[in-house]
Amino acid sequence: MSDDFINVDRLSKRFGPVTALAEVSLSVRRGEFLSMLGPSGCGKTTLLRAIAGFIEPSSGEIRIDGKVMNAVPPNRRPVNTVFQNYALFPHMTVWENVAFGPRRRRVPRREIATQVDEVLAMVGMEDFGGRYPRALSGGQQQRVALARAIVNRPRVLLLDEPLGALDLKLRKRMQVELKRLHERLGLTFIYVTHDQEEALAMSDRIAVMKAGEIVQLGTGEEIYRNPVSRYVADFIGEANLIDVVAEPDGTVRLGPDRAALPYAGVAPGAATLMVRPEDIRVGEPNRADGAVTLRATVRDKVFIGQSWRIFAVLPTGQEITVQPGSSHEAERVVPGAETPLWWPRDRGRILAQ
Amino acid sequence: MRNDGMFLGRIAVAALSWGVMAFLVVPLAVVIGVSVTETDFLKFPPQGFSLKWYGALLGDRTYLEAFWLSAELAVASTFAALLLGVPAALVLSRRRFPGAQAFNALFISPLVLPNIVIGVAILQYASLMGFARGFFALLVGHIVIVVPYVVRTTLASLAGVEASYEEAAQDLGATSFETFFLVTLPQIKPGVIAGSLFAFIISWINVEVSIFNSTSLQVTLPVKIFNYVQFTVDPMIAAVSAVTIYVAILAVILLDATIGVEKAATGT
Amino acid sequence: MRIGRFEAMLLLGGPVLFLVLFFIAPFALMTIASLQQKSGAWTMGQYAKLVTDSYYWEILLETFKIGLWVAFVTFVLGYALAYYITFQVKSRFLRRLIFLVVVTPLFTSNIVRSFAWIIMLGRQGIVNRSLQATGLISEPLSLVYSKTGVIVGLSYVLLPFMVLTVSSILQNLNRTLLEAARDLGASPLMAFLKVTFPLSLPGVIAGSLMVFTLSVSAYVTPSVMSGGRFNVMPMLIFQQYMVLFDFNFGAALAILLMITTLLLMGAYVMVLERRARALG
Repeated sequence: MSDDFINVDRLSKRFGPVTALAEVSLSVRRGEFLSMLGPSGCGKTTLLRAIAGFIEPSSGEIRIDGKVMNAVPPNRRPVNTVFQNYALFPHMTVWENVAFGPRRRRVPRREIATQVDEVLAMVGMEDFGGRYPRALSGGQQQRVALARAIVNRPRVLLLDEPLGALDLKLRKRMQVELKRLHERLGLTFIYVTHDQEEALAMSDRIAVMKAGEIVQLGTGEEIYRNPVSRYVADFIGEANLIDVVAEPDGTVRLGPDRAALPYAGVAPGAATLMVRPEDIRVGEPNRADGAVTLRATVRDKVFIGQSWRIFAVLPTGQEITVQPGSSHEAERVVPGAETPLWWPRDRGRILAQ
Repeated sequence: MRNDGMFLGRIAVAALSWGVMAFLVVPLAVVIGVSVTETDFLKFPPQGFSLKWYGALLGDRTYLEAFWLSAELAVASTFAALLLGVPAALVLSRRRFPGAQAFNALFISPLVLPNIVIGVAILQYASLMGFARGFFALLVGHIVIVVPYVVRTTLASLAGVEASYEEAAQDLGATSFETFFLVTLPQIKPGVIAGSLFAFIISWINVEVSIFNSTSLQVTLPVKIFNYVQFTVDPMIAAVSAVTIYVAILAVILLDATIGVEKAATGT
Repeated sequence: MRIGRFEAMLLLGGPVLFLVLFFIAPFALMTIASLQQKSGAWTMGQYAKLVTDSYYWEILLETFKIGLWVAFVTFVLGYALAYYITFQVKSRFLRRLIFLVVVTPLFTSNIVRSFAWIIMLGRQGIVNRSLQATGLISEPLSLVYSKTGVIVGLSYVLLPFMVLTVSSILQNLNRTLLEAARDLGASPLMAFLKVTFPLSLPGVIAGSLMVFTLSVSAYVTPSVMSGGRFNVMPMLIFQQYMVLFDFNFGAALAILLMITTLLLMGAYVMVLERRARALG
């Protein structure tokens, strides 16, 4: 039996002249926490809603556990959604909201009571059964929305930017709770967000999306370390995107008459060298080989608590940001002076445009 | 907003406005006043206070029948308008398809056309089809002019219900049927009730559509008043008219109780 | 909510079928009748009669003139009340009361409202009776059965529409624009003339178009209050159908009235759309 639980096969969706999804293919593994990450308009919500059944694909297929879902209406898919604005029925109490799903499935009354109480306790809302949604705070509504979805024991839980409306502290707390819930229930979670920190914190795998396509799919670490394009590198974490030139002889240089950098195998022409600020060190390398060295003129340095942020200018005029882990190195840096910088070779990557 | 220095202007506007309000109220008050006079002719202020004209009204079978016919028509056409208008509004607001605008226009158009034109068209059609001057012809005409009110208020209500509630219901396993009755309907109830009130009253007061299919035996109350007024005026007909005014007041109070008269009138 | 295609057809089909059978079909029939003679033969004669006989043009003109007067009167009276409600009434209770006063007449039949004027100003009406009783006049005055009477009656019936339309526009006016005008030195009168009134103009035009259209289409009030002295278009239509039994010519008249109304409503929609676009 395949580990793939959900298969999205060349799914496209067009709204008139606008293509929201362009032949997207994705396999979600049983029990994993997968995030779809991207800016607004990238298609992540469209894809989620297509899986839920609220959007009819223009072409392509969606299979859940091997069964084709295209013709199946949302109320008959083994899927439940946590909506961005929670969508708690305003004319029903918390208890009635959560009981809605089980009632539709004609679960016997006593069992409904047990299930609802159990799931409300799971999200810490067991005392709120008699309240109406308008009497609850955003965070409380969010948890009721969660309870309402999971009481149905769906095979897949879809979450559409559920934490977007919460303040930062609450959001961080809910991220932890969601992750714990995921581990406890063992369900497959598909999570939509535009917040890359959130995605990195919670997901087993991340699908980075842009303009209706998945540009990279992998674990957080894979995507962070080996971004496949400028877009991904820039979207996840911070990145210095240094313009370099690939010569016909295979070498890579900052500029036509500069020293060669120890990278190779790139098609001739303009390219990008990506290296993250936290990977750049100040001073001379402490390893014999595998280090890339540069000299840059420091423009400014800002104290940010755990370290310093150093803004430097490369010989080519381009600006980079350096954030060394150790404050010792940073302390010695003098604004205005030319300073040696280095990074381990494998922390830099050459990216296509 | 403070309009200092414009005191006279404000007084003028206020005075004119109260004058306009008096203009609106006085004629109706006069009708009611005349209906309780003891005299056999129109007198206002009324001489004495007598309910004899209302008594005469109750004793006249033709008036009772006319009242009953108008009520029957109003109830039946409102009911039919709900059966037709609410589902139509639902589809128009929840499903995108080519030509939706045309259907929308179709349902609103009886509002736009002169009632008298609708009246003669239905008379002509009913004559051809063989049901002219019957209850059915009256009913059909009333339904046609009343459906737009239900469609309009229901559409406005549905627009106010967030689609996510319905999606959530479907996501949780409800069929479209269940979704509508358990989630949508409770939320559009005020709008539907207001639409029904409008429908009822519009049917109740109509003359121009009813007149073409009324006969001496089967006549609605407003048409009966219309026929009477051409010949003579007396306190009896004032009593009949006053009764319809009471119905109007009741309807407005009900409307205010459900969605508020200001919202119903201005749509805000 | 996802409504399946089959469900949609079912839900929409019934109402549409009803309207086709009892709304579209009658109009189609009427259009055909307008192009026929009584015998059933095809002809443009009905419309020819309409166009060539100046009598009908005169009636149309009279009908329009009355409509213009009614629009004017309701504009003056209605704008004042709408302005008052929007800018000068602060108490929510009073606002509600005023709206009740404006809407209640709308819920009474126009025959009852016309009748009220006959009670007051008719030959056997109150004013005449008291004047005769005090001996000031010997013969009852003809106050109502005239063009003026019809204009008064129609203005009374249609005033609420003007009030509601204009007050809706005035309420949605951006108050900060007015404050800006005052801030820049305009007196209250200037602020009204240069800012409030121009911005409310689309609403005024829309309300006037609506009142004009309803006035031109009105049958009951003119019929009752003209005293048989003159005709308006709707009365002609009634006569053709109910007195002369000429369904063909009547149809032509009705179609003419309908086209006039549609053109006016088209203008109404355009005015409102242009305003919506202008306000972004």
